[in-house]
Amino acid sequence: MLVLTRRTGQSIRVGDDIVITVLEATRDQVRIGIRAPRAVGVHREEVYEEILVANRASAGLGPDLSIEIDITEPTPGEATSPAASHPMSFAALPVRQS
Amino acid sequence: MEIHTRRFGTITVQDDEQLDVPEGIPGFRAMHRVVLMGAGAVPTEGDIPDEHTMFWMQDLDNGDLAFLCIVPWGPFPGYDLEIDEAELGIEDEGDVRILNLVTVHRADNAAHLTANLRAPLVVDVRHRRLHQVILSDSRWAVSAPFAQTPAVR
Repeated sequence: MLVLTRRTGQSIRVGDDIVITVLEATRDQVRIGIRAPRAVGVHREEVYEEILVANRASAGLGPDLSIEIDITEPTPGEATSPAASHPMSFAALPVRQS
Repeated sequence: MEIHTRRFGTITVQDDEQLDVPEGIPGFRAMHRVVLMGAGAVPTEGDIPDEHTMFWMQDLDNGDLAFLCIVPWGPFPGYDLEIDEAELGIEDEGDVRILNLVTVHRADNAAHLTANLRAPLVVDVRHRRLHQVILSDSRWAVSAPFAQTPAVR
């Protein structure tokens, strides 16, 4: 890991278009500003890690791999039979009711 | 196109049923094309809705990979997320649909379902794109419980 010492107000540039600035530093906390292109996701590490773990669990890669669940069906018999399940037009996804 | 899936067998997917996932999602950056398969309704005690509120998001390039997701508005009526549409290239707010990934937790012979409200799937119906967005609002849990149902093997 590259380690650099910076003072308040000083920055670090990563690649051509990411700038990380130390805004404020106290005894046990540092406020950091990050300027990055929109396409670059910037997240607190622990939050990102949590999402990563949740996504893996959601894909059935977690401890509950073998579970099949019994889901209430709008049309009886449709969703239980894999053969009867078919791609949906996503345009028909419900819009938020306000 | 026809694809072979573990969960649904061979399915035929029309071009206009595909969703692009430009960035993939955390943990699955190689997932770039998906299709939604109806999965019925969120288990509730009340009336059964007549439209699908649960879906499988099936990876079109990896037949083994499918994610259960829900339409959040039924189980989470207070879910008022904020999305930066411009950042995602979404032209109109009306083009947005929201889904949340579901995780099934098994305990006591029952399956407990939780939804990831912190990182919703944002569907842009105009451009047929899907993004997973990590909200900065920490009110929304990564594992928000919404239903439980007997586990069936």
